[in-house]
Amino acid sequence: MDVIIRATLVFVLLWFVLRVSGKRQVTQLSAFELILLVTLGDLISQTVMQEDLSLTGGALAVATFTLLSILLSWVSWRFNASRPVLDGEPTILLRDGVVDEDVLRYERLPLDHLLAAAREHGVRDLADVDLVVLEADGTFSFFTRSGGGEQQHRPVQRVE
Amino acid sequence: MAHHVATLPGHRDPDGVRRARDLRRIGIVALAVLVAAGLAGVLGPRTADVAADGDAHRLEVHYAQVTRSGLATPLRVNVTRAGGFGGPVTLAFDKDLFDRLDFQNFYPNPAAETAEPHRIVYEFDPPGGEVLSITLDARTGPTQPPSAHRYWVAVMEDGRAVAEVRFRMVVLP
Repeated sequence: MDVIIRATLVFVLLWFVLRVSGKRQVTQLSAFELILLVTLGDLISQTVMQEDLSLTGGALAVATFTLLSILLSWVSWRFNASRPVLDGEPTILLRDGVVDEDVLRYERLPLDHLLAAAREHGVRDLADVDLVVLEADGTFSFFTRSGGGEQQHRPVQRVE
Repeated sequence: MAHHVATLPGHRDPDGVRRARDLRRIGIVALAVLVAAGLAGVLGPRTADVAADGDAHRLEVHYAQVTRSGLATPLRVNVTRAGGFGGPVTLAFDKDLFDRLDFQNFYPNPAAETAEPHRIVYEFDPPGGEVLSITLDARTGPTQPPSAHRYWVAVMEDGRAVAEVRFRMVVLP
């Protein structure tokens, strides 16, 4: 029973930590952040299991995490109002070729990351982009202008 | 010449979708049952008490009814004798219990110890009052296989058991 209670508390703590830390995909993590994430997992496993290394204890912890995860996704699916709180909301990073620096600052997202994401989507110049959305899962969605290549491009200021 | 390779998944008929959904629900229910069993204490650790009387002695044992490998396993023995103890108190333990558990220490420590083929006999100095309380700091061996055996503890006097309790301890993997 202790394992289940600890696993539940740690699940809530993890959800809170990940919501507070912002939208980041694993692929966008720096090497240091990746190590931090792995270390966090190690610390969490010690917190949940403590000295219980039995198969039954491990199965209980895994089952608890899985059920809570299913519950979270069900609540998110069933109640629309809970979705922004549980999963986060998409945010617009760029509109009409102009980067919203306030949103970048809020998301703690360097412009370099946005530029890299633009290159991955085949965008040479942000002026060609109508809209960039940072989705709740940390992915970027690019909406390019139709016939944007014929428009007058203007350089985008880097945010340092 | 390029080969056409379809990347779209094949169409699933409604029966297949229903089957997949039912299987998932069964899985979720199985997980819920496991967690419910854990919350109810069925999967341990769980303790129980057992007692027996005989020849002016009362023997009470607090033991682990269900435990798991590697977990601390309490074992507390209380021997009560009306009018107090006239000499050393002798307790015999099932040897299998000691094979199953890793004992760290006794509180208080026994004055003497004798190992016999099927039991281990400990002699404790008599306490000041009518109750001798012994705590054994023990844990289930981390490599112990699952088991459900019965064990016994007895108060001995003149080489015979005057009060004996038997209890069942389940060790889960």
